[in-house]
Amino acid sequence: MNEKTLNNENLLAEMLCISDTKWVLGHWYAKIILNGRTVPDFSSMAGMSQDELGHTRAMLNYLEQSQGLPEHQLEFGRGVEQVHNMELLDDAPKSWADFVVSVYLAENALWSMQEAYVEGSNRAVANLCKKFAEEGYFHRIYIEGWLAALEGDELAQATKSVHDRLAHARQWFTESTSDNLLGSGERTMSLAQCRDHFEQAVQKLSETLGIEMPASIESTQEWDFVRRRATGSRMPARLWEYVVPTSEVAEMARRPLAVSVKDNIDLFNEKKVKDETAPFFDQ
Amino acid sequence: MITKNYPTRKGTNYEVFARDNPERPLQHIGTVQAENEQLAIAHARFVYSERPWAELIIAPSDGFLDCLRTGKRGVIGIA
Repeated sequence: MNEKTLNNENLLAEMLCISDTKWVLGHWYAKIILNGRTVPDFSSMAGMSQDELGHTRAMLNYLEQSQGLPEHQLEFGRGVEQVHNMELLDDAPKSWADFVVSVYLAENALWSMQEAYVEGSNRAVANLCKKFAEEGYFHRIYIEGWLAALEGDELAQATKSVHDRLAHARQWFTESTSDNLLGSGERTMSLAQCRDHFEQAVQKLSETLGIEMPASIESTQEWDFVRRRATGSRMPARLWEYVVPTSEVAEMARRPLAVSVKDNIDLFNEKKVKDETAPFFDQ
Repeated sequence: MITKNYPTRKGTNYEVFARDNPERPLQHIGTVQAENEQLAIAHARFVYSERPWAELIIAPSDGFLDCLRTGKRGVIGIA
């Protein structure tokens, strides 16, 4: 396997970690819209959901083109065991405070990772990440506003949420022994530097809530560096059904695809043939 | 008659101004209500997203100083 192929696969895996987390996060926002307390809350959460799902599709579309995959295969053609979403968002929020803390951690973890690509050598990925960052800025402002507005029992719930979820966000930045994306200049920061950047957001959270943050604990679970999750883990079936409905009625309502997903199940191991006539982002 | 005291949202009114071209003056496009400045900024961004604004700013409604107003000394309009 030559280095170019290796980097393509590493880049694909890391971009899927970002886009799949945004995919689930967009569904979190969509589900929580009706918990908004005012009409501007509804609009804001609908807007954030739209942003996250838009980012996901833009990235998946780019990855499909760059990897020579048929369109929409990364959205509809993967099984749950091939999805790279962050474990932090696996469990549904247990309260409003838990929701606010969870999305704060997810948004900041995503931003800390994306930031490392904004000046990278892959200009298509850099431009996508820059656009994500511009829109994600308002997501973070919104969540910080809600954190500052928590009071009473909500603060205790937020503290519990931090203890339950922070470890998953920190673990997301676990480094492998070799970092080819840093070496090739596609990512300009190491994962340790991304993690340091994320820790600044954790410190800010600590100050806003007025609590001590739990210390990092090394996980004893075997880690899958490709999907950035514990090896063999996957999102709960109920969440997956919400993200990609597979009921008979839902499948009937889907827009037809140019190539059936049933023809392309093994996306990652089959030999990929690049369509030279397909439009492609400038590198 | 049964009455309930529903909790009311504490909030401040913010006036929202925008311009769609750097050479045009700021125009008042609406208001948002929010519990703090961060929420107000986010609400303004998401509620008034009908155009790609060159500039979008907010100011607390009670931060304005009266110059002329009905019932105050002075005349509104051309005297």
